[in-house]
Amino acid sequence: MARTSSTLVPTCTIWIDVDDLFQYAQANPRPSGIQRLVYEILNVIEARAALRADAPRIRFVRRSADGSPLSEVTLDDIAALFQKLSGTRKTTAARSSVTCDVNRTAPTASGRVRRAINTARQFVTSRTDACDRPLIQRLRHSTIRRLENMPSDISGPLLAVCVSQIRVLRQLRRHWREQRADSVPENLQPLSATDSVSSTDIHPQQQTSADINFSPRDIFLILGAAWADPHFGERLQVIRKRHGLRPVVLLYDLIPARRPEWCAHSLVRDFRHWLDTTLPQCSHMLAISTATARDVARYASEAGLHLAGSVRTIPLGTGFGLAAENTSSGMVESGLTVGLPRAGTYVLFVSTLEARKNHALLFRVWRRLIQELGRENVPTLVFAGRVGWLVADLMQQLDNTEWLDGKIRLLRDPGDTELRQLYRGCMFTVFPSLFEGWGLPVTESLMLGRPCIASNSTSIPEAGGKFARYFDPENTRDATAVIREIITSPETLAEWRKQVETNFPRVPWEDTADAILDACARAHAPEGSQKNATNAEEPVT
Amino acid sequence: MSRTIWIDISDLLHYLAHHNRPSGIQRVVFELGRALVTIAPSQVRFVQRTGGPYNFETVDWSYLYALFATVTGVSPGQRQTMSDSATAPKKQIDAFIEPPETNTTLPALLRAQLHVLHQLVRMPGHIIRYRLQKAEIERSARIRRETRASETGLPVMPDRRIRLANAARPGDVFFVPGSPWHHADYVRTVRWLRDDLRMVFGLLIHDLIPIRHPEWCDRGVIMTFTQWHRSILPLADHVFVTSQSVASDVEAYAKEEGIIFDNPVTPVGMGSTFGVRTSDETTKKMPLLLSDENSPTALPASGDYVLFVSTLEARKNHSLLFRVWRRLLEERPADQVPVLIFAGRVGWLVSDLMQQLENADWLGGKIRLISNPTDDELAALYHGCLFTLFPSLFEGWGLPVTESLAFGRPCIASNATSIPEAGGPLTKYFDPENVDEATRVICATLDDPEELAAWQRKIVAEHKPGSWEQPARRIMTGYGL
Repeated sequence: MARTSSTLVPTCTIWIDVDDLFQYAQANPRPSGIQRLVYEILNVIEARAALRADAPRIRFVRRSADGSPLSEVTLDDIAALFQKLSGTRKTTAARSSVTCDVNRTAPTASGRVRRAINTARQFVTSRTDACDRPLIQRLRHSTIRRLENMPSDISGPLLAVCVSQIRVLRQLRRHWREQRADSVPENLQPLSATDSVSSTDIHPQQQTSADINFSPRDIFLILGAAWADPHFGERLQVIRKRHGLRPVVLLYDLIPARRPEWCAHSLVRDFRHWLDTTLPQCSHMLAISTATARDVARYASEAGLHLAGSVRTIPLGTGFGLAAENTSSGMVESGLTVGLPRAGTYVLFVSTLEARKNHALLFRVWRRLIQELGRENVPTLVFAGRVGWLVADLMQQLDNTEWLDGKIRLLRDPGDTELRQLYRGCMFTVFPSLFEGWGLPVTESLMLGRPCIASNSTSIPEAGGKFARYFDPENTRDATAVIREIITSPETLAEWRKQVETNFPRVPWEDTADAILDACARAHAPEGSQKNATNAEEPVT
Repeated sequence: MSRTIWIDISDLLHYLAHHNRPSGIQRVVFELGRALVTIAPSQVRFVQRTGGPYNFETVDWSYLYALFATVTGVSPGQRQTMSDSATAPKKQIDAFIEPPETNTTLPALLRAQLHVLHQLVRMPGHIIRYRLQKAEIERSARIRRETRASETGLPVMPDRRIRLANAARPGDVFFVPGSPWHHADYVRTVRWLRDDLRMVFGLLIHDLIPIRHPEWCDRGVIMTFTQWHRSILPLADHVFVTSQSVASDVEAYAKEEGIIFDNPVTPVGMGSTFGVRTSDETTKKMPLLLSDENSPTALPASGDYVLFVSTLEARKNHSLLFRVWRRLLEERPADQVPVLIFAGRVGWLVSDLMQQLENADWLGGKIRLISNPTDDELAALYHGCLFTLFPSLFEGWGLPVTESLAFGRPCIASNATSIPEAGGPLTKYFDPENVDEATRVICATLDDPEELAAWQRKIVAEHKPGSWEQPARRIMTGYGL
């Protein structure tokens, strides 16, 4: 496996930054794609490193509570964090009792994490406090009705006054809440305030950078969603200058920079800032798809960033999420969930509902299919996922048609067992997304032996290879034609499914880890040999 | 003895009282009314519902005319207050988890509260201005009546309201050109008209969108519209529609519902000029008026932009053009991409689109919104544009397309539903659900200025603006008047 063994170089240590995982866990109850992916890599990377001739050491670091940029954590800490992240959904019913228990008994590391998550939940739910809503809503409706009955020349300015007044009252309420929050006991405080407290709790015996020995040209590996930290660039500079580490970064997608319309302003700002301050500092850059690598090059040239080299595409493991477990046994044993659509009657689309995922296209496609084939010949379309942002208007449109009189269903926040069963029972899956860095639902579907009809944009064809069928996600007619062909031809579907089940190649996470370790080895090599190594393996541009 | 056609314009009057810009249906009702008055002044009367289902009173055309003229010509300064209030809260979008970063310190709160009070103090001013405007409408209506009386030598008609029940004679015609769908008891009116007053009832259907494509409509409209048509259509003696495409829709719907019409569903077509001004002053004077420095300063320089006139709503498919412009900007240098102007009221089901435009910084200013334009501003926008776009997914006619041709500007339009009927052979078309195709057609036009100029000359030479008298005559003929 050791392709770029450089025995002359002293053993290198790869410091993997996991700060973003801990930050993420404080604000979110469940892991998203990036966190899951990072976790898969972390699980295998140490073993793969040990197999190499240069045998680099793997260490995990994050920011410390006192603000120093590097302090060590163990893989066990990360595993515990992750277990809690993935397992929280089923424990929501018992959350209040759990919270009490934790407060009374001696806090274990895992209990602390759970408490942090629960605190986050309570904080979130208290913000959207439901009890005073009906009254306010009634008041609002009657006011609007009254305004509508006035001439617009009068109702316009009056409405403006009302809106401003409501805003003032809202701010007043928030002001009052903030005041109150300052005087509440520690465990009820909003997360932003408990940042330092909970992080020291999670790692009682952490080492800070003063205690750690760094060798020059050690690697600082950035695998996760590090852009959430607005000061990441500064931190990286300190790490580079003071400790002499060489940063290697893995990039997933450039959506906030390339398609800001689908992201919050703050994310766009933070992400671009992160790119601008981080990319020029990195010795090596890796991307999960050629499409992302291309985007990085394009962004760098547009923004005038000077990059150390080209961006390399690494293979991405296919065992992921549901597909991570042994699929055949996993799928058989899980026939317990009830209340899901009958197997074989539906087409599945697993994804958060957000504008970028292009649920709107499938709505139109299904409308056409019903018109062309007749209701009885069109399978139900199942959306499985969280309801995200920028889809309120779409949801309203679906409501207006009574979800095409039941031909489209939305299964909110499905659990893993439910998802597995949904995959098992579906005829095939669809994935019309407009922009991706990879296309995990496509790989997941194929891994679980279900054909996928997917968008042909950005990285998605890389994820689906020759095993998925494709359409233009911005062409309703094309999408309708491709989907109709499969719906009306069960033999083709059966054959395709067999082919997917038997032939879809599994990429082990070890391959991903190896590719990352290769890049680290290259980055670790002295300047001269680094150039040779770069030239030897043709970079993807 | 000639029969009278009584036209129900309650909904138009209601709309004009509560909105500051007429949209498609209101313009059609106004233009049809004016054309009917012109071709048969003695036979046409307008009525307004004043209470229960049997209470209708006459309204003089002069009043409606004055009201419409005022509403379409409100100065931009006055408009500003409205668009301010509409755009002010746009920054806060609840969809994102993080709270907006507004200052919650006490002084900031006090400042905001002070601002509210300041706005409140200005309210009486608004009310007085509104009252003055109302008086002005009454006055200009009176002047109009007097001048017409002096021209024709007839005595001045007093603006006295007459009850329909007292004036209508058997065999008279009742015509609904607009959208009084919010009256749930309208079916009682129709029964009363036909059975008690022995009148003939007919209506103009603009489209069946709330029934066929409820996804694009306001929830309330879907319910009232569906209920209204289900109860009224079986009683209609005459059904007029805007286009052939709507005629097929209505016939299919009638078949499903088991409704049998006594008379065939009649497409009447639409005229293509609009507004009070265009036909009062001659169209030739328009360019002169607008090339003047008088044209509102907020409007962009002519020749630098492409125009899309429409209410911003999901059905009009603004999102397609957003994607097309995104592609144009990726494929060519920014200085070779013209500005795209959305001119219209911000309507319903577009808050997510607006947020996306906001997030993308309106593509660095390459897309602009001119909300609630006056008729003058619209005319100026038409005159200054390279060409117009109309990517709508579903229409009953497609007024902006004919409008564009009437202004001598080429239009690249959606090929869906009735739009090719409105645009005819002088318009270019694309599939409104295919970004590739739309981009291709638009690029081809942008890249060939000579062809565009030739196309424009062809329109100026060959396009005959459809007059509103034609549909008006078809309606009169349909009724046998």
